[in-house]
Amino acid sequence: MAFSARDNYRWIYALSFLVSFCSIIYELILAQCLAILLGNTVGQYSITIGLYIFALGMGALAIAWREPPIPAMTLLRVELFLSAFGILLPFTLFFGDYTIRSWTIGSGYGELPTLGFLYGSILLVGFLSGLELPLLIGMLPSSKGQRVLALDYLGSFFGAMLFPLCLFEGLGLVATAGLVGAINAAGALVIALCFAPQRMWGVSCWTLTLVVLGWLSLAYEEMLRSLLVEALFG
Amino acid sequence: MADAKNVLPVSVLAAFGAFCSLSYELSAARMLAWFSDQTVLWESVCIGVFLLGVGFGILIAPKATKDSVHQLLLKVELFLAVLGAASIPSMLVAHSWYRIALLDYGTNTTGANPLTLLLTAMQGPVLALGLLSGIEVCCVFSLRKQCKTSVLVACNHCGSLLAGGCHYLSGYWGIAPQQYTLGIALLNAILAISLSIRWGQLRVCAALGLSFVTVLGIASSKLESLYLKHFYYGSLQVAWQGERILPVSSAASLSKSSSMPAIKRVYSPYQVLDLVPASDLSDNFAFFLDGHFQFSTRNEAIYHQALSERPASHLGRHPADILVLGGGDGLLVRDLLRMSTVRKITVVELDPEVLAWGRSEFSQINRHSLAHPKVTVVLGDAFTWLRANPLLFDAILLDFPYPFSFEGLRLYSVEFLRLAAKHLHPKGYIAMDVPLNMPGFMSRRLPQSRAQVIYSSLHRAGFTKHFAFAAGGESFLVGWSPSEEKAKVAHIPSPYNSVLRPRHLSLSDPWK
Repeated sequence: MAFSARDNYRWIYALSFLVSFCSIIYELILAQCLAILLGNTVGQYSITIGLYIFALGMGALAIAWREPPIPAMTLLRVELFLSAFGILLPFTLFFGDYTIRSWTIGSGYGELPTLGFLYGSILLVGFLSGLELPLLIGMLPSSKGQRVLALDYLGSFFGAMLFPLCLFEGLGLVATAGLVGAINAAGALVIALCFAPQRMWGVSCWTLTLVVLGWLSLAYEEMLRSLLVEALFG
Repeated sequence: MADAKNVLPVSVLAAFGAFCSLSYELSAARMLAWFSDQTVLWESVCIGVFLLGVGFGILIAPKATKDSVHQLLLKVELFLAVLGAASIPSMLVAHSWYRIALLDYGTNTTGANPLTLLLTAMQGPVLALGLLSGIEVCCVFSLRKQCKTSVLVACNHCGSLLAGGCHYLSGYWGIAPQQYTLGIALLNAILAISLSIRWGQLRVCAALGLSFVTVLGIASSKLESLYLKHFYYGSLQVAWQGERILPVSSAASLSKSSSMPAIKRVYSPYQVLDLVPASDLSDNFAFFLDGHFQFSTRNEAIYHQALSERPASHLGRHPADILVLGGGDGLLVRDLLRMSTVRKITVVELDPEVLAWGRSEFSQINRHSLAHPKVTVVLGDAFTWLRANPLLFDAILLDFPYPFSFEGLRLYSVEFLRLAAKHLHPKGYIAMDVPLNMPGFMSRRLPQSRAQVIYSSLHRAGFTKHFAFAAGGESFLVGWSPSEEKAKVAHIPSPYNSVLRPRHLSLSDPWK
């Protein structure tokens, strides 16, 4: 299937909305998990927002420092990684917190290793999300950059609205992470379709795996939640 | 050479601008969370609206004005300082007027919840702050000359990091949001006046902006004091006559509240503590956390005596080693110490300010219970403490505020209750104060009743037997688990409250 340049622009606009939508929801899932694990919701939201925006900037800087030869390929990898990490985000954070706490009990480091892991996850997701926007802008002529930026902010706005109003209480953290990760994987498929058709086969396999994982998180949310509760809280 | 000199000031400007803007946004979100008790919702909405504003600001910046970049940046800084300074006081005034309107028109309105409408309207200043921040970013980037875009982006984002950290610390150090915001606005206004002097533009406007922020700063404590008097004596009518709410008209409320005694307010890292003296000028007072009633000295004994004695007498058990989670006011401990069988009481309280008040303001009524040799006080989060400690107890008593917010809801989750169950001896029991009989409405997301969620969570956590009782208008729940029934626990169906998928108990506090 061949797309014209104009079609590709439209896909880039759609992608910029989509990736920022997913990123802000990852950020809110992170903030919420931190609030559960560490307490003090307002404090954890403040720290998460600050660290996340900082990491976004570092991601954007990394692209400026070392521009990739084919932005679409880098974006593809970023999206697939973010999608996989996003689907497993609640599990990673809860099991990571539990494991690190078990290892470090009585070590004298206190909560430092756990905090390092949890805040490191924010920096990782923020950094990868920060790569997305400059990569998308890099795939367009410079005159179109502002529209991408505006759609990016619009995506963030919709994500920030949808998370507390529908997703958090409606689906729960596990299913929300699965759904958003699957959407992100679909974004990766669009990138492969429009900009890297030579990678279609491999990307399709990855996307299918991630979408199935996302669907499992949605369909078996209650079972997974029970598993998590059983494993971590006895 | 001149260009090279430009790098540092422009970088600082980029960082400082981001710091101020995000600080205003975070403070606004904190206030909205306080008004509504819905931290997750309003933190998320505020950051979304703010980012939307930034996006629009960046889009419209080139078309915003025909002024020079210097003049535009100066105007933006001034507007940001004024809007930032006025944002929290205007929210307090709007919330006061909303409560006055409720007095006259009542809460029986059909359609949208009036508080939600008010809080949505309060997104206007947040959007405006975002819009100005977006224009500010564009202006700073136009000034860059030799400074690389990537360096400015980094500085901008470092400013955001600093804002997140400082906001957290301001809460940790107990700085009031309006004072914090006014401090930031003052810095912003000083920056504006420095730039106006340096560039020789808009000096009078900058001076006026600085004066406005300074005057607002001086008046802020008076404004908060008035707001609190109106909140507690006016529209809320903390009743000292045994009744909780005495409806009055707005005019009566306003005239009465201004002559009332001052309210003592402390901002702790976790919540806002208010000590409200009785309006009849007697020695009585009431204690509020985040605007929610906790106890009144007139009738607290009924509540604490019931929670300390009824579960043990009903079950015929004599607990010797008791864990109290919450209860930093020392009142429950006072009544537990009356039981002759008690050997040791461990109190785990999250909030250092509540503990400090338990040892000072409340020490007369709790009879210095926190200093009793049988009592060990631990400062820490109950959830974290239970996860980290292997100790076993004969009874665990939960003396938490009602779960109006997510913060409170996690303490009524199956995960928390399960942790508590692991710390009980085989014949141990858990007793708690639960909002079973509190007025509320059925949520569209929660077709099941609140009681069903609470019972289900308790059962799912391993407490297969339970009974409820009421005393002094409050309801209590006691749970225990005969060992032969533990195998049945896993088969209890939803809905239960979990930290991973909270079932909001849809509490509507008529006091707030």
